[in-house]
Amino acid sequence: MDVILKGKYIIKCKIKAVTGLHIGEGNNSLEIGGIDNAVVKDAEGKPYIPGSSLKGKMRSLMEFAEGKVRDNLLVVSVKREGKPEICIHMCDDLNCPVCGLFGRNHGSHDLKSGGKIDLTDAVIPTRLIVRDAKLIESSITDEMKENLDLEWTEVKFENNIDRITSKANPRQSERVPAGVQFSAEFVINRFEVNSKDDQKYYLEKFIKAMKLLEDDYLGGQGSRGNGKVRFVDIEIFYKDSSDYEKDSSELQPIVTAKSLDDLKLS
Amino acid sequence: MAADSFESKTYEIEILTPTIIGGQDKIQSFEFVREGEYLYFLNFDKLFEKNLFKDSFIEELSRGLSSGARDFNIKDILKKYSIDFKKAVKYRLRLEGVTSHCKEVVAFVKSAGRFYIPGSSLKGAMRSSITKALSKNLLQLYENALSNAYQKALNKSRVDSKFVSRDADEKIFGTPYESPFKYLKVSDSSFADQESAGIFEIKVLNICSNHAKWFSRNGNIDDPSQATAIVAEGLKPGVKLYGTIKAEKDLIEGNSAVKGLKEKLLTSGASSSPYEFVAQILSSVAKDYIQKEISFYSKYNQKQIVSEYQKLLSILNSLDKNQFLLQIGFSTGYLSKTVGIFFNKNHFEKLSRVDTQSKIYPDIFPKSRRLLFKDGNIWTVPGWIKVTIR
Ligand SMILES: [Zn+2]
Repeated sequence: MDVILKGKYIIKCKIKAVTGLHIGEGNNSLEIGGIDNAVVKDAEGKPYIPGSSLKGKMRSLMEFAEGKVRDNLLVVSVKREGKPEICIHMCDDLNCPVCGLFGRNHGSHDLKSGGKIDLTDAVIPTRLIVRDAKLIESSITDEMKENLDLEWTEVKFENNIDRITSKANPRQSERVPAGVQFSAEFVINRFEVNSKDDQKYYLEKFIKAMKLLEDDYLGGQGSRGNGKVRFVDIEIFYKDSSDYEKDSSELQPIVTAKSLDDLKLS
Repeated sequence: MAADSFESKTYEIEILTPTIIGGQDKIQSFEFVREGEYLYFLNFDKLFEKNLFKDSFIEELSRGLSSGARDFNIKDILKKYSIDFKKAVKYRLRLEGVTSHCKEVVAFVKSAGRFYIPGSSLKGAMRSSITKALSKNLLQLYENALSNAYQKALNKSRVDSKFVSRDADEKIFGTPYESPFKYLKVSDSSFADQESAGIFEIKVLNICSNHAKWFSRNGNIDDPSQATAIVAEGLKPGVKLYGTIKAEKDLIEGNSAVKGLKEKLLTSGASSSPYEFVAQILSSVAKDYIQKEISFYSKYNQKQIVSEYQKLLSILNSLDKNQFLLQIGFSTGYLSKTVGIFFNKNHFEKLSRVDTQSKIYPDIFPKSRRLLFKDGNIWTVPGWIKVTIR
């Protein structure tokens, strides 16, 4: 297979938490003096959105939206007691928007419907790169800050109520309050595969994934209030592969938009 | 798959009766000042920052705080040191006909200081109502879970009253990973401004030997004006808040329990969206509940509350297909939160063994109700909201 890099689309934007946002640490270790269900933080102790969380969520939303959630199109990613527990879509169709944008893993995989699929020949470099989204400190106003339980975050209590006794079982979790913004960056590689140029195909698919995420949620406790996000102050740049040979020059965005609603690729 | 199944819709909450979503905290008497028609909530950081006072003020303050705040009055101390507390106020709320002394205030849940309704509260109340609409043989599983817990208690095994229904919940809806409620996504609401919130007074009606009495620390009494009051931050009637909601097809088709609901309710056979379906369930459950409460309050001659519930009933009867009524939050009582509305004396006898911390009188349970008061008079029931999905 011939793969040529034609250029890169770079999408810079802010991710605004419209409701509280909880992206967990992933491990349940409880640091001393820490709280249950902490949010993931960077080396400076500030909350951030890991690129892997964004990418994983967008991928799973796209799998549904592109009609790829069918047993013969799903591979088993995690097994429990010999049964498939977590499945993701992966296939060898070179035109698949999900695998094309989010990537495939090498080697042989178990299909959910039984049997195996080997993707080695279909693997090309992943088009989408998602960077960690860093906290924009100024998005937390002084007034908000005065009312936070922790330096950048708050503690939310949730009660599970027993349907027979009405006794509450409170659980706490840390979250970033609504209104906070993060600066995000996505890169989409534009390839020419076997003489076929991607053009803007994957950029358009990526924007679809952004829209799907706005209508869903990011992170934990999303079905119970958390994790509504919006993409704002969007700028899209294009760097042709020939630009990398030139002396650096100021790159101008090809598209800007206040929000996804205003975004037109033309 | 239809494209619109990815789209979320907007919900509008209209507060019908004062609604209190309790946070984890109570605001202590030294944290606010009552003046005129308002409670002013102090910002201690600002008080200290402004450095408006002498060391002796801090000493007096900390003495007051450590003494358990019994006869401690922050207003007197602020006055003594001529500190203008209004320069160090976080927010102020109007007293909505509160006549009792405000010893402590039940705090409304807030995000970075802003009032809102958590998606979890709205969803939790919806789930609780949907559970009440289940078929008899599924509700039987709750009775079985209660019987099992009762047997355990008789055998002197430890029963955790927080997890009595868990077994039945899982049998009906599956594990959280399989639950149809995964497909109901309710965001937190928008924020309410200070004018939308107020301070409300609640008193506890208790049925004692077939008569309505009022709870006070000195026992149950006839005169409600002498009864003990709970004071709480709440949202005022008429206030509207917004958020997003997504009800996917699998909410009503993903699990046999909820599928059964559909067969039970959609008699006309008309195809209904998950939103309309949910609204239909919630309205029918609310209607049943309101009618039961009307007969309860009629029996004990509580005319004001009966007329409040009749008003709710007439709102309920004029709802559109995309609307429903729900009771949420603090002080809404045992029946609102549980499947206990289907229990009888036998069940409550078992419950009294399972939950030994609560006072459970099998002949009449629950025998108390928390009601809102205004200007010293019985006013209404807390927590009723109207939800519209667009
Ligand atoms: Zn694929």
